[in-house]
Amino acid sequence: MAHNLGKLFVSLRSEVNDASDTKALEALRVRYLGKKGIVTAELKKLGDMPEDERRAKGKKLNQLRSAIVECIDRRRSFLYAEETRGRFVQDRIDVTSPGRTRHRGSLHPVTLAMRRIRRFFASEGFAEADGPEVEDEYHNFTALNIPENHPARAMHDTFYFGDGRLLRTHTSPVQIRVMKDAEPPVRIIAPGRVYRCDADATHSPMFHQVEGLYVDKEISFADLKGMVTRFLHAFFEDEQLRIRFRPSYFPFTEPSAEVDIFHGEKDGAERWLEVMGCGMVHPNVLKSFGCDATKHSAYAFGLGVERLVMLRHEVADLRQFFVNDAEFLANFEGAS
Amino acid sequence: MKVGIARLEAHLGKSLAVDDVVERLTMAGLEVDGVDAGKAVEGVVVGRVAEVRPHPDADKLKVCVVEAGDEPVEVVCGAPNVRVGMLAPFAKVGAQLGDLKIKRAKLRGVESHGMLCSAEELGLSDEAEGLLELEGGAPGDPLPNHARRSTVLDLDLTPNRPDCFSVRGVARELAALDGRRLLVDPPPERDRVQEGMARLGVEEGEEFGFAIDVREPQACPRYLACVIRGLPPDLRTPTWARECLWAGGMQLVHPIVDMLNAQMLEIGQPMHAFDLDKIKGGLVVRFANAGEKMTALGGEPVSLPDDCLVIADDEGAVAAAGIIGGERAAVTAETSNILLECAFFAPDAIAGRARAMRLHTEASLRFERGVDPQMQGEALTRAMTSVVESALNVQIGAPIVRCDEKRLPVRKTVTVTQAEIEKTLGVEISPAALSAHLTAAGCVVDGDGDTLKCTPPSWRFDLNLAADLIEEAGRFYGYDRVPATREAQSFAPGVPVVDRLSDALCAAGYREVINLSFGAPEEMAAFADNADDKPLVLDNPIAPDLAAMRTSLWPGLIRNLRHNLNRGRESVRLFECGKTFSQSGDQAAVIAGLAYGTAEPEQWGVKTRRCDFFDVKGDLEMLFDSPLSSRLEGIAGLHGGQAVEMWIDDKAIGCIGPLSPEKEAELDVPSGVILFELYPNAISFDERLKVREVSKYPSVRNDISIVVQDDMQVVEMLEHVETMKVKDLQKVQVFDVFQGGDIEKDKKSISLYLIYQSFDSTLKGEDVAERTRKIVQALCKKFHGEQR
Repeated sequence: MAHNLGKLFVSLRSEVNDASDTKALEALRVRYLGKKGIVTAELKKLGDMPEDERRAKGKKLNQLRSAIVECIDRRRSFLYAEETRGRFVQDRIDVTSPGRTRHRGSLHPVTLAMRRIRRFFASEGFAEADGPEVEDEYHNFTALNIPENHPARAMHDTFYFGDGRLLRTHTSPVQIRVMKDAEPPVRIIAPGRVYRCDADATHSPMFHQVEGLYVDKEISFADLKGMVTRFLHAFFEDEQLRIRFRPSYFPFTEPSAEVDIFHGEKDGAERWLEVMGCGMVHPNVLKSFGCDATKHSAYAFGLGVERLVMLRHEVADLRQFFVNDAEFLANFEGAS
Repeated sequence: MKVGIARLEAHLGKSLAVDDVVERLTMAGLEVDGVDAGKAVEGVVVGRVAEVRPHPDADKLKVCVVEAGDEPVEVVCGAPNVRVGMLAPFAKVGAQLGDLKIKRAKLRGVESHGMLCSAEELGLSDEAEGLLELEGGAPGDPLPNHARRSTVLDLDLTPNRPDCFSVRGVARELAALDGRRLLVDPPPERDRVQEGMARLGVEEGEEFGFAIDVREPQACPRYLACVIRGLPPDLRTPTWARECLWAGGMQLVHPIVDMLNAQMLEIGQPMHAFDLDKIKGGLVVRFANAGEKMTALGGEPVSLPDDCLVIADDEGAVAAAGIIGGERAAVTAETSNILLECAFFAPDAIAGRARAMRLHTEASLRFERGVDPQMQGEALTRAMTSVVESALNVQIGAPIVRCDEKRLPVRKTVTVTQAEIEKTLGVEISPAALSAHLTAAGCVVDGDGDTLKCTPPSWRFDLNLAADLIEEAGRFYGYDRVPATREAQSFAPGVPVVDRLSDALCAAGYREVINLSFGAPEEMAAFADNADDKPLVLDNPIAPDLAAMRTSLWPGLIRNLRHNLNRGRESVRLFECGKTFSQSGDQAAVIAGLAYGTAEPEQWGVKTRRCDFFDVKGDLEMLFDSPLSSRLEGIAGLHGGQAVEMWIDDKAIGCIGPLSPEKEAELDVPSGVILFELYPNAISFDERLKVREVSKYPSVRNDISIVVQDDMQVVEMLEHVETMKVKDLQKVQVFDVFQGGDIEKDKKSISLYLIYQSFDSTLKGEDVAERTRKIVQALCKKFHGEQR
């Protein structure tokens, strides 16, 4: 049979090259190299041969086997590539069709701003405090150095319930509630809803404030300026934002300041927008805290969240916030 | 408060640059809210009316000949007060009055060559009361100052600075900011009255016998009055007063009242004039009697609270002291004899009363914050002088003086140290510089080295504590010059429950909304557990449908749903975090949500399906890492057969259910609205969670199906399996519930998969199958079921 090996290989090679798919190729492999294959059968016969003949024949058979394997492998690679190309054409889809979707959610812009504010102050070491929205006169006014009949009460258009209770007009009462149980140093912010009896294009009867309070031994107005400046720079992501502190009056702070941010020029005049109020806590309020004004000092600030959102996102109408139109809210998809 | 730049210039005796004044006042805490440059007026000169004759075709119009420097021209005029010889502003052809350009025009057939102007047309006043009469000037001259509008500043004054409620006060502040003191001190009170009387030639004792009894000297330490008789009927509001009132944005009322109002705008002392002939008997200053009533100026009846100070005659109150006069003794066009009142009412006796009566006036605004207690003498004699100047022949009485000196406010000396200033402001300010400023502001300052002793002037009610002087120091030094420093930081807290739940709801496709915390009382009733549960109601709501504090967040969400459905949106998924309020005072945090529409957005390749109870239940289950148990529960406003309360361990953490069918029509929403609530206070997440070990060995899954009565609850089956405590059983889950087909009516087939896994060895199929068989047996027995 030895003389046939060459012939065998030639015919196999043409069969391999004729194999049209990997399945036919596999059948060929089995016919030659499988358990009962032609080459395998020849190899099995070797055992019955004399030593020298076996060695010569064995070598030839092994060479043949390697050649067949290589030949089949080469063809297989080719056919695989062919077939894959065929699948590509056959399985082609319209990749431009949209992906499957689910309903999208979003956080309210006021919540988003509150979170930015809370994250900033958390990084500055402020804890969060909460207080009731239905308040009493003591916490909302009296303890904050606004005695009954004080003209400053008229600055707050207050909602009353007629039984001494009222809707808090600011988040400042939380200062009193926190300090009742706390010892300095205290560093808190109090975010939440507040209410004023006032409604038009620029006033909503409900809006959000964040109150801040820092009570310690040597807190100064300069420290307050530093904190407020850093906050506004961070909030508006603008280290160059111009900020000014303008003397003002709040019964619970002294000195008191309103904080304005630069809002461009119009007709050659600088425009400033008021964004928050702040000051050094008034000695009478420190007394309400149960603090000794000679030992401790404190600063406090309060900011209106809607105002900041309107500036940051260029929302023109305050009332948009409470209509809750899905299209408006969809602006804030993906933000957290 | 409105202040004209021209008036400030008159007080300061120098001209001012508007921008500079705005900047300085604002940065000193007197915020300038608006700058009104007024109407641009060009080409208007003094005109003299030389002739007036009737218009041939119109009763109300006249044809006038006006001289204004050039050739006299004919002008058609409709003003009732036009008369021969009068001087009035004349807008020539080509003149510009704001947007109005004066052109030659025919009025009812007569050509008019220009326009004679009223105060309104020149932008001086809101009132057009005929032509503005000019005092002096020759035809063709530029308009005199009193006919020209200067820039008016609108100041937003804070309640601590009543001393700035006048042109004088603002001028004084501007001067002090320059380190200059405005005016010399007015002489002491008594001398001032004497001096005024001497000037007017009034003899002491000529009080015309008018009796005034101040019964409340604490509330009214000083009450000055003066009788003036014989006012002429043609008394006119003098030009200076008009100018002040126009700049201050006040209306003309009556010549005497106008003079008093103008003076108030100038120096800050409110005064009042009574018609002397309408006062019965003398005047008493007392608190209102119980139930006392008065008709205020303008005709509005007011009930006087018993802590309201009144000025009364024999028949009752003729004025609410420091707030408003009464109609009964008011001056009118017929008045010829008057009593002028000039008092100092203590702020405590006035504050809050105007608010209680809803009668805010220019007087109450000033008195409740504090009028200079040392200026009544000056103010009264000044007013007397003004009346005399306008009506030379009046008889004027000596001032009637009722004063309890001891009860007038006394300015206490306040001490502040350099160290205190530095500690609070964080900046070093020299005592010398501060002392110079305080002196310019009217204080008497004394000090040695580091300590400053300051006695504020009578008009400053806001400098009582060291902190007040520190603020004054900061204000004068300039907040902008204080450095911005930084203190140390401390810790970073975890994520609050509400934030975590909001994020998860947002990821599940819900949009966060924020609604007002109040609504209509009926809205709240729709979700009240008990018809008797009344919401907490506001005394002074903005509108009746915003009167009730919400007891549920659902009404707001349903309103949002309606809004969005009306805008053509088909699927709406919303949630809100907020508080609900009970009558008794509970203020509980709630997260509430609503889902309506398709389970997924409509899209190709996916069958569109309406969102139902189980979609929402699944959304909520995904929020938690602990298993939720649910119980069918009657929840007000929700579908009785589909509403559940959800529990974690033994805490109710929320509820879900479709809106009850009978509410759909009532609330005007379609069917298929699913509502839910979560109670954040009952929910906690352990952020320090411990990791559960992962087994090295493979798990084995067995599926079983059991046919049971269709009213059986799946949860009972799951709980029963749990109680069996089967070895290595890690998880049991429902994967199919089937009715119909070969299943008998009234029955359903429940399919569960069981996952077994050991932490010690690979489980053998036959061992696990044995355990599953036992589970099936137990379930069939317990629930009268059959394996399928």
